[in-house]
Amino acid sequence: MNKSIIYQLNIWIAEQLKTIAPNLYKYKVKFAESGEATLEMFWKAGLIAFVIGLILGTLLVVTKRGGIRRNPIVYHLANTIVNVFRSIPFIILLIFLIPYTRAIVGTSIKVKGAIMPLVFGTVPFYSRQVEVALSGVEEGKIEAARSMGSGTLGLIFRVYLPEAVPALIRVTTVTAISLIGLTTMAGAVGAGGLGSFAINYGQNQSYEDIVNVCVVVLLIVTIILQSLGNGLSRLTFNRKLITIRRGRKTGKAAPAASESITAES
Amino acid sequence: MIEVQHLNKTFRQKGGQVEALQDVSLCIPDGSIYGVIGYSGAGKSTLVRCLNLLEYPDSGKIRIGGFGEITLIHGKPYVGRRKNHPAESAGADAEPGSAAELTEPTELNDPVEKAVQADGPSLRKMTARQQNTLRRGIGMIFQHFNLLDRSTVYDNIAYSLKYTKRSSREIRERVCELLDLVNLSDKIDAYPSQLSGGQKQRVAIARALAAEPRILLSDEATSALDPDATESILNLLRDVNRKLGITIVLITHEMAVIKAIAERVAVMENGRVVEEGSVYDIFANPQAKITRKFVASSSLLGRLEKLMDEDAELLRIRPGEMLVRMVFEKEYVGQAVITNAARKFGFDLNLILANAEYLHGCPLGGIVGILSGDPEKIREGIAYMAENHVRTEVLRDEQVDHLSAEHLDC
Repeated sequence: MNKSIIYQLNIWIAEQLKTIAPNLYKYKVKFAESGEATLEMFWKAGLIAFVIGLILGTLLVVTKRGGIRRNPIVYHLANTIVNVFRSIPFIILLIFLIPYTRAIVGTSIKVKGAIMPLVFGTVPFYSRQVEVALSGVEEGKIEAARSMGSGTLGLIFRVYLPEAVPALIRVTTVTAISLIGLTTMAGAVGAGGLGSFAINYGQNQSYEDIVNVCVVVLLIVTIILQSLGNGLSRLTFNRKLITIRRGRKTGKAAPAASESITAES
Repeated sequence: MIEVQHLNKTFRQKGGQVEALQDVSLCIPDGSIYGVIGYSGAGKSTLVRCLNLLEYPDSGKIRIGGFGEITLIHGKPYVGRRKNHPAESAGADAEPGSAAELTEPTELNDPVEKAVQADGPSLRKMTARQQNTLRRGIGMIFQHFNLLDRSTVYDNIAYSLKYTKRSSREIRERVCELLDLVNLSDKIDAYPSQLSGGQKQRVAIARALAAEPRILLSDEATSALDPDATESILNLLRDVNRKLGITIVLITHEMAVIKAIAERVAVMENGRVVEEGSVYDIFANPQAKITRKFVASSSLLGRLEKLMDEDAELLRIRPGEMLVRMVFEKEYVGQAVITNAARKFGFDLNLILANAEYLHGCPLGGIVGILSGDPEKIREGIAYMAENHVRTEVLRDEQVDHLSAEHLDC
């Protein structure tokens, strides 16, 4: 029963697509493939960039002047790398990295060849954002944790990262959206994706409907990502997403008397 | 016992340098509540941060009971045996009760370290681990609470317990115990954002006490609270001090806080301790100008200075009159010394201000008044009062004023 409803719906969508975007309907298999390629590039490059960016961003905060483990050499090294790669336009970076990608990954084309340049294009931006997010953690919290005997690792994993979660979610959202933008350029190394689909099939053949649908699809993805990020960031502000209840399981409600803070003798 | 000797600390900034601590030496007895008062920028915050090495003094020594002696050379902490104590250099432990971890001998290869050894025999650089161990033995609370906003009250309090060898069950028990102590048992699952300022500070106190420190540092802990919450937090601190015997070092810019709970107080100005003593003595007999200012700020008699500055009608005196401040010494508040003197020497007292209060069970009182009558008799009366434990201070004397005026005419 359910299946038939979904089937009916698919038929209906196909019918609508046929009338609204006849050219896209003609290339629907190619369109689906492109969407898939974009998605693959997005999550693979995104995941790697997330990890590296988080590490690099944390390193920047920790080693900078006034950081919890000041180290000018490490800081300037990380800082310079980030600055250099941030200032290279992505399309140039994509081409510049071709020989290195081939050496490391084995191929410089298709989705596999696009991951590395996407990571290089995302990490510098993301680590800067992480740096800003972590710098937003109040100095006092760090000091309190130090007074309780936390070392560098304790401060990073028990204070900096957990306290910055809402800010980290926000900057991750921004970076994810910019990564979607970058994947559309990956067509330059033959990785396919919605970007090159829109150019090759839409622009080059003057099929306007193809371009329009690509724009709408990317717009929807962006809106979903942004709302997801905003929602999560809000849900984790000043609290954990899932709170572990530790209250005494006595069954009875806690005494309301201690509501007043002047109950002390 | 916390003992600091000759602490110096200079902050070098772009605009020049700030000498936050200048040759500060203090001795804080075990189990006491010790106040440090000063205006902002006086160095009190730096001093308290130096005690748990959140800040490194440039030079000086810090002795904290149970942790041995920390010597600071060029802004780096060193531990080891004291200089000039050859008897102790034989044994592995410099003193009984000191953490063995801090006094184990290690190999020395570093030339810089060797240079340091010349300065003080058998000193070793304090490792990060040793510093963290030290910090865990000293609790600290702050003006802005500094709780982790994304952790519940439970997790905040359990923070330092995770560094101890406690099972999760023991941690839970300890947290519940602490919540009972600070009277917030029903807030165990609350987040700091759901608490009032006073409640946040209670959680912060519970958190600071979690790892069973012997010392609690309080950095302006009540400065961001309303009067009710301030009182309740001060009561809690006093309880903590009495019940658990924890030494509390309290820094503040409010004399009322010192008056409420401290036993001894150090007054700081421009990185120096300008006056130190029992709170009673400081209140009864402030010496330094800044101390007088602080005392005035929290006492009725303090209004006098303001009235004098304003040249109030109330304080104007006619020829033959004297404006006098009379302060009773500890045990003599209840005695009628002044009226006795007035009767005996035949002068009148026009009462302007009077105040009596209790400080740690000791009465503290004084009177400001205008004495009129025969100047000679008044002087005799003042001498009589001094003999009978009333400190007098002539603030204005019409005769003296006239004399000086005549001198000016010549």
